[in-house]
Amino acid sequence: MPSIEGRTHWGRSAVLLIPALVALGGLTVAIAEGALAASFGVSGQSFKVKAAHVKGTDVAAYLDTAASVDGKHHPVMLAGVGKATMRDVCTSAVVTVPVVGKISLKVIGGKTEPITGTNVVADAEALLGGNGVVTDVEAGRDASTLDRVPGVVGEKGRFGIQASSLTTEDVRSTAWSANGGTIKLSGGLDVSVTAGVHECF
Amino acid sequence: MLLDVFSELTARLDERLPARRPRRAFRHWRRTRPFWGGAATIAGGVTILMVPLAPLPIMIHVGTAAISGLAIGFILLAAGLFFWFAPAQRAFVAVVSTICALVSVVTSNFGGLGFGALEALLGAAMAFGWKPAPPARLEDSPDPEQPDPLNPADPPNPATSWIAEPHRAVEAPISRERASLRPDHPAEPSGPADQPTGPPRRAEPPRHGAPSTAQTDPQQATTDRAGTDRAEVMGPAKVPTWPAWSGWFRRANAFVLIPVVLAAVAVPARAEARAQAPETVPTCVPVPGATRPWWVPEWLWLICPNPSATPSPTASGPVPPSPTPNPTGPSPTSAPTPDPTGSGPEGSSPSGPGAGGAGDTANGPPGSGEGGPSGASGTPGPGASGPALPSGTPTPGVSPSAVAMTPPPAMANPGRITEIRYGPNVPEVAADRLLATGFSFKGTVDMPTVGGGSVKALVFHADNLKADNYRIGTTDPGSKLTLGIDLDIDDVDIYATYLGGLITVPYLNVPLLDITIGAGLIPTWLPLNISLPLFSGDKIKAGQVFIRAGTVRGSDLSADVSSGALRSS
Repeated sequence: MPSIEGRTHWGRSAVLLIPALVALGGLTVAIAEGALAASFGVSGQSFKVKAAHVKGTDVAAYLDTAASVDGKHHPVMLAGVGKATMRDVCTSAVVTVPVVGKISLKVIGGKTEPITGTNVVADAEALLGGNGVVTDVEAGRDASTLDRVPGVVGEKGRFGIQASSLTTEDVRSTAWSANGGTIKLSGGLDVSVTAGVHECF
Repeated sequence: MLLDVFSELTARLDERLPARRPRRAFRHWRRTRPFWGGAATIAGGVTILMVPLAPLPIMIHVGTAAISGLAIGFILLAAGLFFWFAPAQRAFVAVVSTICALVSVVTSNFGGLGFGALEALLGAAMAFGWKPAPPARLEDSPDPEQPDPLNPADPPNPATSWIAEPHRAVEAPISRERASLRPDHPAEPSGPADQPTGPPRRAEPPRHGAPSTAQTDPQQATTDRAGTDRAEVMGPAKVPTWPAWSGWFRRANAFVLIPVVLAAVAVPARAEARAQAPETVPTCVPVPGATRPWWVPEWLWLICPNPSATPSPTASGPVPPSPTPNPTGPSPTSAPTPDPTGSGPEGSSPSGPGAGGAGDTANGPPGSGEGGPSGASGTPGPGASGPALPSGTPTPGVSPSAVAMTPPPAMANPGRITEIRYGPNVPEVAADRLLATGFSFKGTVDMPTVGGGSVKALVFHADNLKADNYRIGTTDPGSKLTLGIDLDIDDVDIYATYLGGLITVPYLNVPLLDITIGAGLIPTWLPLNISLPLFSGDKIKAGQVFIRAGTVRGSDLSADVSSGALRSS
């Protein structure tokens, strides 16, 4: 529509950019301090989670396939936890950035205080655990009849399992996605972005 | 200088590259709108979308939180397209996308791991700062470093031209320029005041924005001239000398800016205040003696300016939701939960004779020869059943399959079990070693599956069950779970289509009987509802329809989900 050529006036841009960056800083501080609960939905590539201690009430899981961005289907166990508490959590994802190469994003949290979340749903591909206790287990329910965690209901004919509580130590998982309805990060959050591959395990 | 070299290079490149005409056209299109701002905004939106987009069904499970994260990505995508195809609205769209980029930090993985939010912020700011240049200035090589003071022709942004009153906005810089040129003016005759078409007029037009307005509207141009003249006549005393930044500030439209700045500061402030009200206020002790500078907002000051000053116990103390002290319902220490649901009466009463039978079981093999006939005598009564299990077994010539078989009786009180629907594909389970206490066979039950059919399953109960290297492999089409774990389960009901393995003497691991029983026919000696104090087996295999367990303690868990076949163990 406009036929007049123009250009970006950086002074004018700064009027919008500087307050926005200040607000961004405020938000970052608020999230890192645990004052603001951030919502997560990480997926698209597999990432690794390691937690020294995980407690959950109302757990349900079923077998599913997850589609990644590239259209491939990955067999996963979709697990939902109604209320989760995690300590000493390390999450790492390796992302391939076109020019830079491989970049590792690592988030470590829950050192002094646990990280808590509600309705955490994860697509786990592999899971290793140390000692764990699960109560009121029902293994073999059809995935479509699971009723412990709202929303975690699978297709008919899939293997499902649910339990009322879960306590495990030293959990290591490779997952494709993790969604927290809300995840409250606290206890010293340490986010690092480094070049190269630096994973939790 | 560098810029000159660069433009030289691009000019050379321009000559060599093919498809000159379309590239020219594209360049013109690109330069007539905030192209790079839009591109950065789109990149930000895509980044935010990329991170969580993959398994959409999960988003739908989780609901609003994840969906709002997606929505922001799409809004930013749309904003970028608006910058490209409706650049007139760039100011408003830029403000909206800035706010969305900030919100995405909270709702969507730190705004696409930080990158997406930053891209979108930068893009929005670039688009906000974009402005079409007046064509007059374009001719005589505009200096890119200096924001040009003229804004008479700003057709794509009518809002700005109304509100900021371009004529007034133009006046100040012009007259400032003239003020600097003042030495010329006194030299001129006093003409300008009485004759508007005096000599300075001729000198002026090519220098300023007048020609551009003349192109658009000659009449407007004359009034413009009159206006500039008036300003000139009024002289430097009347014209306030604005600071250099005021020009672009006023042109940037305070009506838009002020709310944005306020909102940008207020949004995190309010969120912070709400979230912190119960917690941070008591936990943060400002550094003793430190006073808050006036420019630091109070809410920011409360975020522990010196974290080391706060003793960590108090920091964790007042936080209410910390669920660590929550005792997980059934604590692992209260290990043997004596809660034989449903099996209470039967399980306890025969345990007397069963206990006696335990001795027999252990000493089974010697007395087996006599035991044989008793086992074959018919459906096992409670009394006979204790010694019956080992009895029929090692009769040398009789293979287990030759033992008389009978259709198993139905389970007494299936209860809630028949209300649940089960998967039609029964997983295969196996264990290297099984040791059960309070083990009993409770009959069979028809378990309804989701497809409308049913699976006939043997029902076993154990007060405690230890399984070494328990493995389960699902047989569903598609994803296949392979799970291995060492199990220690209290109060467990097992529903299996078949159960096979090598029955052994508990603890001694002396093999007694290799047997497989299915739900269709069971050996007549299999005791019903008799709690065996100890039962052990090696290389157990079963088709496990369902397991209900009170407390499961597991160690060395390894689970894999694959699309391949069950891992051979």
